[in-house]
Amino acid sequence: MAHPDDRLIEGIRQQDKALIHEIYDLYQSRIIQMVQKKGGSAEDGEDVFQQALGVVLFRMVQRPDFELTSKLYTLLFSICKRLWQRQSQKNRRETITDEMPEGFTNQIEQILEDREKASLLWQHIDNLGNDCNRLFDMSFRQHMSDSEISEELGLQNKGSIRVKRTRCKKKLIASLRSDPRYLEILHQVA
Amino acid sequence: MISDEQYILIERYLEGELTEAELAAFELQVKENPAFAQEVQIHQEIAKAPLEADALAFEVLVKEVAKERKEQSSPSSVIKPIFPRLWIGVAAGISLLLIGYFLWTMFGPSQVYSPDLLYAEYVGLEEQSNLLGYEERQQRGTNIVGIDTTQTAELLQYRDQLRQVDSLYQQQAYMEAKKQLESFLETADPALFSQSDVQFNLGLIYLYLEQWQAAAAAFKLVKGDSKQLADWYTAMAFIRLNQEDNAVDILRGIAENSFHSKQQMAKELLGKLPDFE
Repeated sequence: MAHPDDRLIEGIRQQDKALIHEIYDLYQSRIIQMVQKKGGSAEDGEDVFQQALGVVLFRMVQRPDFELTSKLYTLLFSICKRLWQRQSQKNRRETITDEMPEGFTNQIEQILEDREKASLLWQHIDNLGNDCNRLFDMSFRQHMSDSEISEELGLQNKGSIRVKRTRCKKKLIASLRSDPRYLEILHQVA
Repeated sequence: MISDEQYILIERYLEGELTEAELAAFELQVKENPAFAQEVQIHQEIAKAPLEADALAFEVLVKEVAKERKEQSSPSSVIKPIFPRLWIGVAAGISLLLIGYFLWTMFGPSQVYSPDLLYAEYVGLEEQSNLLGYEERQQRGTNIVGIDTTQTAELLQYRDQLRQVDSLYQQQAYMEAKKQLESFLETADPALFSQSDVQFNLGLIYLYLEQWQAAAAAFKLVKGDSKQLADWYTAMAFIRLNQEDNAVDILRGIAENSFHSKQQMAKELLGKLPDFE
């Protein structure tokens, strides 16, 4: 049976801007109110909402095993609550009194770590130089096939793409290995 | 730096192309060779790049939406409909202040104290615009005695009734909102909704209707998450009832609570109220 909020979930998956506006209309003010009740400002509430929707919820709904078992608002509210708890703890305003299920909080922590790694990874990709940067952009960001990339780059065969990709990937790995920040995150996660 | 053979091996592993024997040898190497394990991990992270690229693109989209909404909300639309009422209160308060200042300069150094002005300055009713606390709790199921809110007609009817009150509240039709909420309290099954949240919202409506005694009584029944704010509004009602001693008692409690959102305001307000020590 379809969930009443499936439409909104699909809008998030499809990155539908109009639906993102709708989600803001439906839920943002309530989240701001919750953060204010917990000692934050309206601006804190806006930031928490943006992070919950933009960083955490999107990655959650992308998981193949994702299933919405409550209302979308309930999930979003729980994510925001957790993010605000983390923020408050960071600012030493309060210690986390955790009544949330461990699996849920671990999932959020994992998502935030993945996001940090991905952000660094893309910084390295952007600094690789034109050729590799363009190749990864077409391959990863635009999801183009090898044939499409070959055509775009004016290469004769798919084999050339493979050679080029291997060269760029090795360059990227060397770049990542030379970054202590990246290795530290990998170490923490491992 | 790993060899070309190892590089190809990792790629084949990620593609799921290793034979059973190769896979067993691969896993052993991961277990025994930390440098190789780290290399595998980096490859795995790169393999996730397309998914992460989508996620980062979504973040940019959400930032864009947030920015557009901020730009669209001109100062006049940011102000909620209840503001004009507050401004009238503040303007009236300022007039009183000026009159007070005149009297003070004319008749001596006794301190001018205006409950109306303090109330208008500190009440902060614009922070409360709906009955959502009710719905939010209902979704968590904390107030519902073993009943799935999404499936009972009775609860759906309650929700619709409260939405109707909410809509009246937002239209500033406080008298009608009060009537409907009082009738809701009389007729609805108290086991099926949060009385605390309904009382909190009824208290707000009484404040708008300047029914201070009723407001204080309603806020006193509030428990849970909303209690902190209910205490603040009770103190405000007492100020308007000229029961400053009761207001000061409550405000002292708030001022001592570092987790209370109104702590700073309570401290300020205590400095402006008569001292009841």
